[in-house]
Amino acid sequence: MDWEFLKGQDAAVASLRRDLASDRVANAYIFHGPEGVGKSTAALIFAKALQCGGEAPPCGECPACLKIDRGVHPDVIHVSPPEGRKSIGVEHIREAVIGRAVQRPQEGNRQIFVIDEAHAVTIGAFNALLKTLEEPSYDTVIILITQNLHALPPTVVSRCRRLLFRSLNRDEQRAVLAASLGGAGGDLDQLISLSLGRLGTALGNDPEVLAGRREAALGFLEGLAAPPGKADIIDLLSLAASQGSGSGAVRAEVLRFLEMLLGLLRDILVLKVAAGDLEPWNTDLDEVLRELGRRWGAPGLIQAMDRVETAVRDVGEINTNPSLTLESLVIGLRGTVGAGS
Amino acid sequence: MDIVIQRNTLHRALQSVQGVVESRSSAMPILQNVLISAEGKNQVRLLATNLDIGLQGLFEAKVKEGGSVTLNARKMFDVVRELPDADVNLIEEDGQWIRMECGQSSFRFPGLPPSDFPSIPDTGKEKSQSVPSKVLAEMIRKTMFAISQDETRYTYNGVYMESEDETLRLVATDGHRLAMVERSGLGADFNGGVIIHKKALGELVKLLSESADSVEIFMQKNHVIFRMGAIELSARLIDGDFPKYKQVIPQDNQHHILADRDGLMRALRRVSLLSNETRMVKFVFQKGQLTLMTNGSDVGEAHEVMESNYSGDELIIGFNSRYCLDVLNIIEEPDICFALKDSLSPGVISPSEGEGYIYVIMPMRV
Repeated sequence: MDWEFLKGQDAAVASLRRDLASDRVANAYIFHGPEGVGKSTAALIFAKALQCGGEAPPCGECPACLKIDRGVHPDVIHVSPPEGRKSIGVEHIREAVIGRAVQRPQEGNRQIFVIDEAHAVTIGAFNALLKTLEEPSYDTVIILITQNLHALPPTVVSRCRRLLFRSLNRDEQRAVLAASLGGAGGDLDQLISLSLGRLGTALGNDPEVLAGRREAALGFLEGLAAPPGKADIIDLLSLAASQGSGSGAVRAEVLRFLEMLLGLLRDILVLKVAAGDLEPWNTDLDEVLRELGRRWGAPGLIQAMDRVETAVRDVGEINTNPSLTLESLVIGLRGTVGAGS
Repeated sequence: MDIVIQRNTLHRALQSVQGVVESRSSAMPILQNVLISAEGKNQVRLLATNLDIGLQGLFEAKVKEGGSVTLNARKMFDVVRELPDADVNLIEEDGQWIRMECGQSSFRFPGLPPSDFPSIPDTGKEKSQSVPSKVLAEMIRKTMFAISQDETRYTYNGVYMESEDETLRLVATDGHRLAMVERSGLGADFNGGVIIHKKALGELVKLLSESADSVEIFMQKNHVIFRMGAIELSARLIDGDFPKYKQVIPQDNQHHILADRDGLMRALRRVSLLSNETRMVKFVFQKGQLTLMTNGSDVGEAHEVMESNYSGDELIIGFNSRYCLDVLNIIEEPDICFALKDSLSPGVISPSEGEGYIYVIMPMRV
């Protein structure tokens, strides 16, 4: 796996390669951009290029490259929230990063710390990390990976070199999926639609599960958009409740449902106001979505998306009760139907 | 790999590396394993590391077929401990399983690929420096207790080793006290000085106590390696500047007061029992006498008067009793010397005779 593997991130890749070529590698980077566009892959390739002992780094064949590929290189340290936890706390950062960054590398040229989901690092942990970011030793490189740059404190952001990884268009996604899945991916276009253009989702999920989720989200929207006489609030509430039933992974499941809902609303809005200029993800639902779009005005749709985004934040970050959040969302969304049309 | 090794040799070998094997599951499960590799026809190398410290040793064994394996060090040690004294046969099987046979017993361990094992620096052909084991062990013992326990101050978490004009010097400090020991005639070169973490020192002291006459020290870019006979310990260096300790050592403390080490220690122990949570004991120096005092705590107060050769004006200075007792315990000479300036300047405690050991202690406000 080398730089060629990374599709559609020419600007970020060029910047990293320039740093390598001129031996002016920064001590801290932030790779930010949407989920599944190659941030972690870029960090891995960058780490290999830094540790590689071959002639054309990253050669992919030397012991260092092979160890990084297998995830056992002692000087490439991955940090992510511990199992069952949502955040990376100060103890974790002290032990995994700060305490090791003060040591010389074990066998590589440098020590590279890759902090995945950097937005999950607590503010206390970031504060503890500041000194390491500010005065690192020459052989330490810290890479923060996040989808949400704004969740990082400005004190951290200002100490890092920022690289934006942009969203991939449909063709680039198709190329990446084809390379990763081979023939096993089935209908790639369908998969891209179902995953709303998120490669991470497309690669990590069963297409049938995604299709089922979209079906549920579509049914939910159709219920909402039904004319007043026919709309059955009780039905909707129970549909919402069914999304939040069961146990264990409820919260995660509700989040994915809400994200699907958001994707569909976005497509409806695109078809309504920017058809032709922007491409909706769910190309196969064109007619259905256009039909749904007639029930909303553009301001109403934007309002609806706002409400869903708030619900995503409530469930994902503030830890509200998923079922209650969904129920209040039903009421709130119902109020956006017809607005402004 | 196919080797035959004596049970007692294997037991000793595994025991020597246990100290650095990662006990809990970490991001790298292979750190719980020991790497065993055949070297030539008559030796095996055992190697373990927790990435801070690496330990390896060469042990006698009959090598029938070369190769290397890794397996869980703790479990293997537990099994070998229970084996009778006989030959143990280690055989590598397909799919990275390792079979161990001894007499009628047979065990199978799952292995991990040896290529995943972190590499440990090799001493190679570099030039080494030799220091008598006993001397190094003593120097470490005399400084190590002053290392900071605060894990967030990394440069204070180890002993600083440096050499200057054929003098080997070890320094440790936690910001409140500082211990420095020197031995001349030991021209070891430490590339300007290295900090060695206290965990590595703990292992090193253990090995030094069992080791032969001298220890060979190899300096490398990222590690320092201590070789004692067939065993090598490599410690990863702490990257950072050790505090400028020379500025801390007072040069102009004009009052030199001699005291009987044992008598002072006993008195200090008694008096400090009634100190408050700061552990402060007041040292009141007057003409011809020294009074140790504690007061201000809820549990009571104490004082004890000792004779002293002090001849200046009255001088009252407070010290943390634990810091004083630490050094009084470590010094072997019968008499010690206090060097003081005034009640707010750092004091120096050293053996009254002989050079080479200095302990600086910050006073507390009385």
